[in-house]
Amino acid sequence: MRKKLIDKSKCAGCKNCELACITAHSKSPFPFITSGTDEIIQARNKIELDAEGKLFPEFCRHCDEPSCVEACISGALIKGEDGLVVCNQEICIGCFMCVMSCPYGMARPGIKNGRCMVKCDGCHGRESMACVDACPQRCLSQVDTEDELNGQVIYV
Amino acid sequence: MKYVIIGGSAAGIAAAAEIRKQDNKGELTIISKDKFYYSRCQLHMVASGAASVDRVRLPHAGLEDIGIKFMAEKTVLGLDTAAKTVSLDDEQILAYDRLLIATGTKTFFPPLEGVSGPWTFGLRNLDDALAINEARKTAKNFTIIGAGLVGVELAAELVKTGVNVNLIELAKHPLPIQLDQECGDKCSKLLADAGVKLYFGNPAKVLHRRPEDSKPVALELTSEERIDTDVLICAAGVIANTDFARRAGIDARKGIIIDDRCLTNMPDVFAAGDVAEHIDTVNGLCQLTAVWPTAVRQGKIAGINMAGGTASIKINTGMKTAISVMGTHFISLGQICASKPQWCKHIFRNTDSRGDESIRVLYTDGKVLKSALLWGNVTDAGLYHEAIVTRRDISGDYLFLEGLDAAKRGKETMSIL
Repeated sequence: MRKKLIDKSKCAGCKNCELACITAHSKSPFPFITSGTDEIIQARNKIELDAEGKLFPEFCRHCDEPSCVEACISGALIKGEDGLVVCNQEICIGCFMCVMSCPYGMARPGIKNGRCMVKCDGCHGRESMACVDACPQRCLSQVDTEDELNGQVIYV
Repeated sequence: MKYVIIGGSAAGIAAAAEIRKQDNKGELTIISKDKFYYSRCQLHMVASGAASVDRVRLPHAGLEDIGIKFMAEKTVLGLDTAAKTVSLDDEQILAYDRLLIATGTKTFFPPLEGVSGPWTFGLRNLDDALAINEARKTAKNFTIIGAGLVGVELAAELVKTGVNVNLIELAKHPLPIQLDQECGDKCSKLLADAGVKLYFGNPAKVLHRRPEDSKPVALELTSEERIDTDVLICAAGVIANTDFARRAGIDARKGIIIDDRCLTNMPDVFAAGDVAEHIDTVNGLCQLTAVWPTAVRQGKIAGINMAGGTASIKINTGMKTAISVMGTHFISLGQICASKPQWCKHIFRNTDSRGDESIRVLYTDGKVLKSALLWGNVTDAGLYHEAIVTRRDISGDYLFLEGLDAAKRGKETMSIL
């Protein structure tokens, strides 16, 4: 099972993970000049400041009891067998009940042919996680483990 | 073990899935008056023809595959808690070991002269939505009583189809529970600009009908103004479906009272969802918590307890709403309408580079965030929701209230509490 380890003390706030996320989720080779298309140009992660003003890389936790899935009225958000919470953007109607319910603020509003929500998909279907590959600080790292418990994303 | 679930919507389906996870042998039956499981929050889209029935249909999560019997279009008439049976409208009698009542609510029709009769609808079930959609083919003037969530969303959708829409509300602005005066006025403007005619602070008095076929003609307001009306839609509140439960001796006020395990006063009878009343985390009062996420949460907890596990309601609130009117999003958390004078009100305004305005109204009591209203940009709503329901101490967390905008403007510290 693929898991993401996050050591927040190493974060330098370079935001390479955010850029990598946008690029990885864009169909265009130039995701920053797609204005006029219906593509969502938005990172699924965010580096924030915590209550003490320290850098904090905020990622979707792919919770065991996901509040966003509970709140979803359209059936678009599903926690799959692989443990990842993924949004099917074809079904999502953009009611933003998930945005209201995620305690980490990682279910976020997006614009696409109207509206739909945007969240981390754990780079399922990709060989490795784009944010992890892009992190120069080794703040983010990927581990392959047989541990089925303890969540998909682990903060250390 | 025989499980019977009455009601096949959010709470009922969540409970069934949870029971199946815990106990894969027991016999599990869902009795539903609907044909299938669908999203009630999208009914306004069906009423306006913007969404097909298939679009709002939700997957039963493979109910049949995991051995759950879904009895569609059946109504429960009676409950015998001594014999542990429920009786249906087709005279079937079902025995249960554990029962869940998740019957939801029905439309409240205000005691208005002329309200009962043809061309008067609620918007609670798929049939209501389909009836309104059908009425659009012949009717031109739609009048909606009640500018709550259902009324506003329906008005905004219907007006897009080119029919005349009138919205009647007792209060001074739409969504009186969710919005304050300023955002309420902005919401009025959005609706009015789209072409909805608004009649606020002016309750309805009589619905005049044609004597020959009792088709509605006009709705008369208290101000004696008459509004042309072909179809009247009541969206002025709901009543919990507690009839057979009350007759069986289950404690109910507005809804069935449940404890933190979703158990009613009768052994082995559970209740969850919009029909149930439990303490609301936000204001500490026992009240209906009729929102989808809370219904799912209660259903899950009821399901775990029915199957012999232990789970309890920790966070329970119905005071949260996410709405979109004419492309503007807003989210209301906590008791905006019942803010207390000792609370401190913080207002933050921002216009982004696209010219989109956003407003954030936050109420704190000096230590804890009590309620929040986000207009326009709703990205951080989840964080505010979490702070409200967990009563987190935010008195030292200046960035939290200001959002990251404060950091962007180069402010290092500021005292706002």
